[in-house]
Amino acid sequence: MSFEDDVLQDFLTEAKEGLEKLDEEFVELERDPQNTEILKSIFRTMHTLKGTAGFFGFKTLEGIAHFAEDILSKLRDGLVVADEEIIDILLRAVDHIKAIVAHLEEHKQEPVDETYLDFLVELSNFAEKIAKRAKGEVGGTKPADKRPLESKASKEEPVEEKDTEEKPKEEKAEDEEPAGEKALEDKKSEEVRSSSSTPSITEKKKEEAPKTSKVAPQVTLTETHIRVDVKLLDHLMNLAGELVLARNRLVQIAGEINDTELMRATQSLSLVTTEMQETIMKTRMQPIGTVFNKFPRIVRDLARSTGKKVNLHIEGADTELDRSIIEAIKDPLTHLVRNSIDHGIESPDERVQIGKPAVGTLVLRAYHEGGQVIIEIEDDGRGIDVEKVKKKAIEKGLITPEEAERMSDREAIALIFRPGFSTAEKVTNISGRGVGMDVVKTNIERLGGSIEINSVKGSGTTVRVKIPLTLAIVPALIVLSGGERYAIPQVNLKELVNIESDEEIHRIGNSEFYRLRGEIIPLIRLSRILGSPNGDYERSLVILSTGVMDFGLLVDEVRDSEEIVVKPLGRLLKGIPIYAGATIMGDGKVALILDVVGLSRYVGFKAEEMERAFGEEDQRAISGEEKQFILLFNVHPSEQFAIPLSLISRLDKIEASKLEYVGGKEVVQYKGKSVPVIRLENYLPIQPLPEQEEYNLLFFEDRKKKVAILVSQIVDSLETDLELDEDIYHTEGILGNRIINGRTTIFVDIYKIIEMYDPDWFSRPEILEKKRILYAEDSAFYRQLVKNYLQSAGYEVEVAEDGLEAWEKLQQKQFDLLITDIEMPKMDGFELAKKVRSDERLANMPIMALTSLSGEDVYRKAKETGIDEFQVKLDREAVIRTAAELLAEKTAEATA
Amino acid sequence: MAELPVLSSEKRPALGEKTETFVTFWLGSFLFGLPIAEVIEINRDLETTPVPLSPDYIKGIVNLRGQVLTALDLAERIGLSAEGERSYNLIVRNEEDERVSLLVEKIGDILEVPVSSLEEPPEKIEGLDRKFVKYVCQLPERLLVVLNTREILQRSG
Repeated sequence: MSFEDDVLQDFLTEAKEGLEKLDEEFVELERDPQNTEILKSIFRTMHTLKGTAGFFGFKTLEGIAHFAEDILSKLRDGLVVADEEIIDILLRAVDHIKAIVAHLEEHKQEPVDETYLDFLVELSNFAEKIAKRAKGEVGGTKPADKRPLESKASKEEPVEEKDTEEKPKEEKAEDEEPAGEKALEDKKSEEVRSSSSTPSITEKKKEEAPKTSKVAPQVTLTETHIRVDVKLLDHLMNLAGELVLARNRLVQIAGEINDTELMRATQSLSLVTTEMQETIMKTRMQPIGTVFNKFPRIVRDLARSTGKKVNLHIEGADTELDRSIIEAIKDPLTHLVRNSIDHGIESPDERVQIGKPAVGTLVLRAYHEGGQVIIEIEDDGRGIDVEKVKKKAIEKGLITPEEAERMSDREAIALIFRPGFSTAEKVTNISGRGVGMDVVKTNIERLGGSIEINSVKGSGTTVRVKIPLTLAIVPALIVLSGGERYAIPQVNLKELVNIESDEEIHRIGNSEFYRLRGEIIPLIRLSRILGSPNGDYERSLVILSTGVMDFGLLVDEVRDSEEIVVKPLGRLLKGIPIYAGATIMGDGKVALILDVVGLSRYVGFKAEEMERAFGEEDQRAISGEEKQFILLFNVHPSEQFAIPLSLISRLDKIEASKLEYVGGKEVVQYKGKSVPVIRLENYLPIQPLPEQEEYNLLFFEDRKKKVAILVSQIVDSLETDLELDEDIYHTEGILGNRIINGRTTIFVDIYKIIEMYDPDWFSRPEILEKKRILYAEDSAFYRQLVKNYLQSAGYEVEVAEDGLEAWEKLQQKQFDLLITDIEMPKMDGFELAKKVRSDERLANMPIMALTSLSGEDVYRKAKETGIDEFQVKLDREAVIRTAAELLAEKTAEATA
Repeated sequence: MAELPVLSSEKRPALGEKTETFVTFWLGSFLFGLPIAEVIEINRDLETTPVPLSPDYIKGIVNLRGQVLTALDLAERIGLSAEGERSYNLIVRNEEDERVSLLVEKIGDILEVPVSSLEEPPEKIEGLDRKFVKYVCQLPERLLVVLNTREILQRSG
């Protein structure tokens, strides 16, 4: 059924309901002609009928309804009292309408027949008369009598003629059946031709005329559609589900008994049950057109308000979906369409300039594919500018420039779905309603669907939403906790992990984490949330995704994956966020369905908190001491070196023959670009790299530039604290040394080395007057590293080994910015910050904390003590940027 | 059913008098009643699945022919300490026509009592919270406590 057919069907259903009601009400009215309530109701029904008929362009129908409404309005306003004559003609109007509706149902168009036109004329004359009567011009019923007679006579003649010709008796007996009526109509043309004959009959006819004319086309409207309460359908669904369960049990029993007769009976029951279930499922299906048909208006309004021209094409509006999904999909779709018009489609001028038609095209398309419904929103606008997206993401701190460099276009486009992202240069009143694409994504994922974007810069964007046909049945994983079963929707499931030993679970404070292929994932123990006892034996880890973040759920046991029927929870249980509903298991018992998003909220994970936790883990792990993953390597086998692993973007091997000397510099080819190679022995007093067939390369990235360090061998990577000994080497490029695995290991200051290789490597901002930074840090490693990179960024840096020393230096000298570690002996960063803030002279000093510590309370405390910004020590880029921002703010304030 | 405390014949009111019919049940030593119109059906031993994090008086959820209903421990809900095992599910409907199961110990008789014998509850009823009581009705041998379903099915704290 096409979308138009569908709308027509709706109209017909409504019209029939209305007509049914009219019949009853007219009868009522005849009994009680003064009943204004009924009159009003009749008037309304007729009015609606007129409106919708006009909408569809059914002229005759509209006309009849129009004049009937006219008459009714006089009655309603009490200008004329409904007498038998009036009611009679109104009823005939209803009958004519019925006949037209019946015809419409069959032929999808109005009948082309003079009967209706004639009646229309009669009705309009009558309406005129009533209008006059209402004005008091005509008192009696005289004209009323005449006119129908006249018009009827001329009309009825041919009818009667035919009657007499064919089966006079029956026809005269005023056949009320539709068949007879149709026969009349069919023959009308013939009659007209032969009408001049048989005058005697005409006379007879004249007598009968008034009577026959009153016999409006009598039609019994057959009901093809009825309205059913949705509750009833839901209940039917439930019962069908139960029936399936009962059937399953029966099949099982029949299998055990192994009786042929019983088997056969069970089989047929089984078939019928399945079919019944499917059919009932279908009753809940609605065409997506019910949502799509809202869009022409939305698109029009949007296009107008943005000054754009947009042509909307709707395809596949008859694609059917479960009604619950249809409801839920409306808002996300609206948002996507808004986005397309607001961000995608260019203004007409712009379009013409680049050779596109001025009118943009937006296609809204739905179709079935593999048991799912695909909805596509396609525009021929400017497409998504990947670089712009990356830039924005970096600005918003969602990714680092290094990450951006490594990202594929697809990954970059996916950034749009991150919380806190919005590509609109300015927040417009269209897309910028505080709802981001992240919300759209979350909502679609809640429905068990997914969303992806394909975009070609300059030529358009296609957003593709996949959603299941029905919400009622979802695949789910069944897990066990505290002896009860819980269902987890499969959409949220990423993978399953078996925990071998407690060692694999890391604890930081009260939180637990799991390291999954290097990624740190927070853990939740289901038993702890549910308050069930045997939580410490949880060994099965279910990795879940909320769409924004991943977390692990520890459960007692993982069972099978099943298709479950989702049932709502009662009102008394609605407030508990961790459940999405309940389902009935094969054995008839109920199991709760976990809401993964609700679960993560309940535990209180927030995306940014998680990012902090990640950062924390990356640079120091597990115990309270500052620890760091480092990479151990050799240049010459006799000496061991170390670099923090997180500074290295990539490790690779290279054959000696691939090293090239170009323009006096050693380079390697990497991803189609020449990357300079640095040999550490050129900058540090160390043993040179021996000739090898194959070398190892450590890649570093800074903004978009890459450099590779050539080394002999990667020894190991391990986690260690960074207590360095600074006594032995006082050489630029060496941070210090420390004994690792029984060998003295030199920690290389990679930033310094790169700067030595190329002093202009780190694009140094033009700093007019040197800003002075005081950096308080107890770890020698960081003290050196951070100091060096701040210096190379053009600042004057003085260091202090603890908070107290820093405080003393602040008293003596002038600084523009204080950067401090949090955890330090003697006086920690918080105390230092507090002291600074309470000192009048220093109150305006910007303070940045460099941390490896994290957590909500630390963050909050930092803010309370007056620390302006927080950064992670090893994130050179971010630290320098933040320092510049803080200093700029300070200058701005000072000049203000 | 020898254990039934009140024979309905005793209670039959005089002809023509306006009456109301109650489904009665036992919790501890109290005989409670609910208007028959509010009770949909009575079931035995529906298996209850606990719902962690729910209020204490909610014992869990049950499967009633494919519908998942919330099961309330009625005694706990109305602040009554009753020891007996609650094995009957009294299925009632709330204002929104949602079905809820009330767990009770024992089902009593269906009683028809004259409306005139229904009284406002006294200021204090020993052992239970007065707000859950709609009326009391003095029967020859004991007091029938008519409960206020609306209040019971109201969400609280």
